[in-house]
Amino acid sequence: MRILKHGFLSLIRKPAKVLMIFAILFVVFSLLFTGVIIQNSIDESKVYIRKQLGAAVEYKADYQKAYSEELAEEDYMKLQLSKTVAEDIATDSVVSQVYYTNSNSLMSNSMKTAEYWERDGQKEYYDNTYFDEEGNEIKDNVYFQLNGGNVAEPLEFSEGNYFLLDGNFPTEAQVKDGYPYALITRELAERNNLVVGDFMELFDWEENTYELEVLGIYDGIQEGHMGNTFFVSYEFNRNMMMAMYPEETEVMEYVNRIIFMLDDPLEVDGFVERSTSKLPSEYNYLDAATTQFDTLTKPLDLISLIASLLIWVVFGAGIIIIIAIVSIFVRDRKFEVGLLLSCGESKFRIILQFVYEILCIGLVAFVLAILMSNVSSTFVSDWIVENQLVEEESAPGQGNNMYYGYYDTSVFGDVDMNNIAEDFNVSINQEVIFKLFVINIALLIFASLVPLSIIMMFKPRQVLQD
Amino acid sequence: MEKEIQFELKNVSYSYIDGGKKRVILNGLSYAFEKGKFYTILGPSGSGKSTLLALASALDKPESGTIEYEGENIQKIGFTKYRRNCMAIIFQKYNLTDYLNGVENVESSFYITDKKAPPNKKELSYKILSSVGIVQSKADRRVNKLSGGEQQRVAIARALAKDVSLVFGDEPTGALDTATSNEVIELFKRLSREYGKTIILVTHSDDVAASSDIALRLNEGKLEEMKGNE
Repeated sequence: MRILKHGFLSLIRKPAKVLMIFAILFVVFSLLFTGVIIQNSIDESKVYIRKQLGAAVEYKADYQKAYSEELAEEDYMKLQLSKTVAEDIATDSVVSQVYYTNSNSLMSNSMKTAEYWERDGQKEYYDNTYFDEEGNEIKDNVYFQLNGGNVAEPLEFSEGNYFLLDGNFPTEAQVKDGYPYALITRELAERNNLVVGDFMELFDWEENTYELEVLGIYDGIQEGHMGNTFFVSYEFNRNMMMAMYPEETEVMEYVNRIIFMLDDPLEVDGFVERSTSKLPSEYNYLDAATTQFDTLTKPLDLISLIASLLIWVVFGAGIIIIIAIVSIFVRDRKFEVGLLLSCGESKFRIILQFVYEILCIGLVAFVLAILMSNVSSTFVSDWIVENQLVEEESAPGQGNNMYYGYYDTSVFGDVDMNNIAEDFNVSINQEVIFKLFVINIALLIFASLVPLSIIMMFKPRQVLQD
Repeated sequence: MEKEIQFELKNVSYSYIDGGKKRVILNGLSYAFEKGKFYTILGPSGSGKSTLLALASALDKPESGTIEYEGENIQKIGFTKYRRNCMAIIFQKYNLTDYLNGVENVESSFYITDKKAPPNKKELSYKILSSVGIVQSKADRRVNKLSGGEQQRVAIARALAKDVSLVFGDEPTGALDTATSNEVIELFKRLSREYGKTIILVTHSDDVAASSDIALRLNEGKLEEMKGNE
């Protein structure tokens, strides 16, 4: 009660000193908060970019490194992607699903191709026909790419790039057992009058024949030369390979694409850091759209650095200035401290009264500094959006990548500078206010305790005498 | 009739290092102060009067010896607790909190104590102030608007509000003119006679010493009785 009453009376009856402390706290807080708000906006923007890029991490072979280091041919195995390693990495708790695929091909001499190119708006199909010396039309085999996956709904479908027009995805058991099914393109189904439930007879290089049931017909492909792509199971492809090359068991381990889908995009960096050590070769890496992320966050990083410097410089200088001003404030009231000590007031309660007074001034300075820094950081934000978040060049790595003769769609989300600029804002949320409040309180308590503790270390007589 | 001892110094010594040399201020000083008496301690400058008062009021620690309040070592009571509940001290200056008015200064005594505070603190404070000659209009003034004598009266009222039986004064009239000094001394006498408080004042003034029940002289670190008025 005494602390509250006397603290309050001290504040209202010594307005000049209060105003002096208030002015200093206000300036320090405003600068500090502006830095924190900008820093926070940048952090939020980075989170936005990371979320937009998605929660996928791709286990890749680093062909660029292999090329630049002129990797010997006998070491090419180092570039292979291992299914066993992928399964080990997938045990990480943040992985919701691992997708791996292998590829193979089958042929047919009766089916028509769905691959075409366009001329004057007309489709011209690569039907592999030619004429012999006698002018007879000869039809060559048509090749089909088999994309073998380990899940019932392939990633291309769950990511929304492709969609089923008819039929269903296989059952988990069909995937696991290597049942001969295929999801085929609409183009192929139309050209060959295939419907769901039909069987296609195809053969491999060793002329083993396979009957594949059409389980689903899909669409969504962009390129005409992808019309002959089937989605089959990983096990089916593997069994085919085993039938063709029974002695090459080691090769069966390798797959051509591995993607980890995580629960949360914000787990990506931690996951990559933890899992990189599990990769078997320096020619493998985990791609988390790092290049895109770095390109997009580059302009933000510079501002972030400046904001961080501002925060630390103001924080450091602020502590010194506040300690100095509070020291003057406390020293000026040394006899009051001595008097209170001589009356039997405890040191703790005396410190509490001074801290209470400083916190009262600090609270008013805090509220006004929040308003002030919100205005000033809006100006800085506008400058960032207008001058820094401008499109320089399209982020690399977007779109489709080619693997072993067929195209894979990118698993990373699409985001550009315009999206980031639109999303960038410095409005203060409750979390930031709380963060600033904690910084404010910590700074004031620390700055108040230093001079008070020094005074309290003396005997009461020394305090009264000096 | 057996004397009732309020406060006792037992073999108290105190020294400090000055310019590399040990300077003995108090040397095995012992003295027992009777309850309800008005004491003054005289002595030349530097004789250790203020040191003695600082030790007695637990603002400093003796080098050796013990100080007892009603038979209990004050170190055992706890210095802060002793200052809070057993005694009051009035200095020559800086006695009051400058941002409070007279009545608020007196009222503060009710908060700095382990005793239960009365519900009518303000009214009681006015009453105590009135008893030492401070009327309400003056009691409501900021203390720096009061004269030196009035400030000392407020300080005495604060000591009274504390409701302790032992009051120390470190030259409480040192900054006052003769007339005001006499008024303040009369107040101390009243505290002793009417309220039964033990008063121990350190002073330079022979006149102040003459007003006390027992005048002591601090000489070469020892206390000697000059006269007794019993």
